[in-house]
Amino acid sequence: MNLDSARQAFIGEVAELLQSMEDALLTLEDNPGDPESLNEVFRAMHTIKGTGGVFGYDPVVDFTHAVETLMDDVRSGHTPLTKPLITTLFECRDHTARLVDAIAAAAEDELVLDDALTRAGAELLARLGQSEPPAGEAAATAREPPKYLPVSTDLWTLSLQFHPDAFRNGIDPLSFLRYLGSLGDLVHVETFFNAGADEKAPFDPESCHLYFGIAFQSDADKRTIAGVFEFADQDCDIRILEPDSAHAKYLELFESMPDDQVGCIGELLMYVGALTQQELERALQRQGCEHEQTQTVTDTLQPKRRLGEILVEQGSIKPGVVEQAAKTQEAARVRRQEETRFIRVDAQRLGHLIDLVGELVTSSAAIRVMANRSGMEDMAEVVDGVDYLVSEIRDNALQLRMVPIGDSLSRFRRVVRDASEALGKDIDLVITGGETELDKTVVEKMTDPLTHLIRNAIDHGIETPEVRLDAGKSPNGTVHINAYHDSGHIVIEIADDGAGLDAARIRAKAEERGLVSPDDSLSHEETLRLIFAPGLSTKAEATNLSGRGVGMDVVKRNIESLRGSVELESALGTGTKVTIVLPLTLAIIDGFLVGAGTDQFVIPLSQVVECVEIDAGQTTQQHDQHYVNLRGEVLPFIRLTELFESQAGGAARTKRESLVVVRFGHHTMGLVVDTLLGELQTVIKPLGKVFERLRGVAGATILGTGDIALILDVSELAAIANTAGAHARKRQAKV
Amino acid sequence: MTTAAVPSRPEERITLEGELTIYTVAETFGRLRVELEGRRVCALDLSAVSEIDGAGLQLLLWVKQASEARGADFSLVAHSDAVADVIALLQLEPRFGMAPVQPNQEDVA
Amino acid sequence: MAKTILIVDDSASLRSVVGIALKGAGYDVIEASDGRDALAKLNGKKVHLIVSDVNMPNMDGITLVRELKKLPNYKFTPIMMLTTESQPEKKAAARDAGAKAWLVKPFQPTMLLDAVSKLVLP
Repeated sequence: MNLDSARQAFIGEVAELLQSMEDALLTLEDNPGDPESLNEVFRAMHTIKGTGGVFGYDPVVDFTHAVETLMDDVRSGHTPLTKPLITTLFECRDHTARLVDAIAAAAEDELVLDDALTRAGAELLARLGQSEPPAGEAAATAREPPKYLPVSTDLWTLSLQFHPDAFRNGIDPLSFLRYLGSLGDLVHVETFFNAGADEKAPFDPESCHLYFGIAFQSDADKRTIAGVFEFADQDCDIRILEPDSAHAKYLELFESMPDDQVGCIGELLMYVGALTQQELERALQRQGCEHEQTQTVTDTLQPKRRLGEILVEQGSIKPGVVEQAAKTQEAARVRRQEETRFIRVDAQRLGHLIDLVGELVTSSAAIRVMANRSGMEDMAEVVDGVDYLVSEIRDNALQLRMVPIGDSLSRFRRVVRDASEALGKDIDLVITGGETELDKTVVEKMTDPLTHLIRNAIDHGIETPEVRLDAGKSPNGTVHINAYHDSGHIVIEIADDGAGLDAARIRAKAEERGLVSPDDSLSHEETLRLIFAPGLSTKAEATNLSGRGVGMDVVKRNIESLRGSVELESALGTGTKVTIVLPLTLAIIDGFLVGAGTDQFVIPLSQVVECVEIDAGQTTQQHDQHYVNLRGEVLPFIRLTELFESQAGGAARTKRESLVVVRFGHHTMGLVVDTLLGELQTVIKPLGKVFERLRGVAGATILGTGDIALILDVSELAAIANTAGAHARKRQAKV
Repeated sequence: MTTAAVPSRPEERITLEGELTIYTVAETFGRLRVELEGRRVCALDLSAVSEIDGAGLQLLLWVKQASEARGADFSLVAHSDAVADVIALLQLEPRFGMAPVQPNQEDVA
Repeated sequence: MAKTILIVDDSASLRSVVGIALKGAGYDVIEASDGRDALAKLNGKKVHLIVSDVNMPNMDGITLVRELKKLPNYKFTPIMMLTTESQPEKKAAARDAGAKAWLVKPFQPTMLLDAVSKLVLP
């Protein structure tokens, strides 16, 4: 990784951290004491500071350091987290983002901040400082450590049991005690001498029968204290128990420990200094011995005794510390499992992979055609196998690019918060179905339209608390974003409980603009859809239109460019619901191949309901509109040969035709085709500029034969069928 | 090198001299075992002990224990700085009938 | 009464650096250039600690340890070996022979003082 890509990685990390900081701040607004969120804000600033420092981005380091320090005070309860402080923290988050943007924009290593940015930072820091003073005094007293700590909790407890050969080996216990005294205060020494009383085992003056219990006060850590006895470890059983006050320190260390360093419990305890290497080795040895013994005695497979248990029994450590270490270990294991479930992959690489899979799909279709032509049966079997694998690969490759939509939706919480604050409205944002997955490229392209729709709901949909109370509603409005999967599509609903759309005013506006004539008869839904018409909605007029229509034509175009559709439901006074239906992916779909005339078409398989054979006699034609009687239901249909003016027409009409029933949203319609050619994996190739405005077509695909088939856009076909119907009705009305 | 404990007659005293370490404990132990036989009083004079280590200290503990087991009165009548150091290090003053080294402590004797 | 340490190493410069450090800390120091020289210099003198190199001409450190353990005046004297990391088998041999402590070369004089004072304070 060179410096530049490292820098890019840093910028990416910062964006993520700031997002989680924002989420945490939003949580804190509702629940200022939430410890996890406090930690999250702290951690974001802390991490950015740390990494920024590595790159030498001093302005970032200085700024985040100040925020981190403040957050530390907040965390420890020295500074209360007030509403204004949260607002300032939001701004700090934004300022950090701007600082990092400046880095991204700056030439290599040259980070020069413009004055405005520097001033803004200084001003924020000044406000951070000011939000402290009322708490300042209390903090000063709170920071004084309590003086009544019982002395005993600060004492180390050592026990030294010397082996009989200690003196003969040149080990003098007194030397170690003297040295220990140089590290602290030997508060109490208890000397045990137990020999010679028994006549059968007469006292041997050259053997050591001494045992010491020592209460020791020292700031040294366990490793240092154990180090005193490093030369005695062969001649002495040494137990060192840390003072109670060390527990708090160990717990802190446990918490600060990076998960990837949390290994087995012994290492963990050694890392924080609660255990020495010798103590661990001794316990492990004992664990091994005991295990062997139980094995031979019982002859069954027994689990080994827990190391923590042995350590406590051996007197190396207090039970509380072992317990805490075990908890830390468990927590780290859980987190690590979660983390290792994800790896970061460059989106471009995934894109390339999916392109290649697309090519593979096309190639394998070509092989199938060749195999069919050759008429070799074994070959057909092999091709079936390959086809199956290719479709699996395709699904898995596409799955790689699927992300939960919730991640991108959560940013709207900030949008809602800021906008409602600015407008003096009280708005809750409810997000459901955030775990619903869709293609990352689709997610990215949906950000703008969604932002638009949500802004509209806040700006114009939801009323001020006063108006709402007058209307008999609760003063706080709700914007509800819901996402779910529906037959190969993702559906995103944005609903508000605001004022709703005023159909009469939309109609009036549309007539004024000449979009509809006064004598056109439009259904409620059709009237509402007028707000998607270009020209009707510009920002200035939108507010007059009972609050809706800001760039709705743009929204619609964006969604349609993703082969999606948008629908509106609204009732005056009760709210508006916008429903967006999008394909899950933009690249490859399961298609249903049909022939009409000399051409072949692909219908997205997910939208195919059924196929039935029909006789020409079953169909009726009223004006431009075709209807078919399908089991007693009247179903509008489009004959593809007519729509695309495919050759062959007339003569074919006498032949039997097939009706493909397709569904889109709650519309059902039929497509009449000549032949049904079966399912196939379809790689969607965008049409060139020339065909961009071709209605009813979403793209093209290359068939195994090398021919090109058009992919039908069912939603547009439905619209075509509807317009045709509308025209027909209009004419009827005129007649 | 004086310590004021129970005054004892010279013949009741046992005097140890020079080094009282692992190198000498075996020999000293042999001598003490003989000396302690039949004694009613064991008054140790350690004022001439130049050096004492853990083994030496252990021997002192043994003398005390062995005397008391025989019903003899044990006392430490005099000690050198080296001995005082070790006794202070292990906080054994009470056991050897010495005043613990503490600030503001009046001389009991 | 100052404690006495015997330092045995064939490098005169090492001996002098170590000697200065130990004397500075309050020990009495006897120097010897190899095992045979060490036995000669000791000649019954009281020492509290012997610090010895492993690889030396005439008599190496491990042989010296074995010899010392046979002498009544020195059989209980703690011995610290100066070893290099690459000599685990030497370390084992020295341990079997009766050496108690190790210091890995190269070392700072303060490290030596620290290790020495765990065995014998001045």
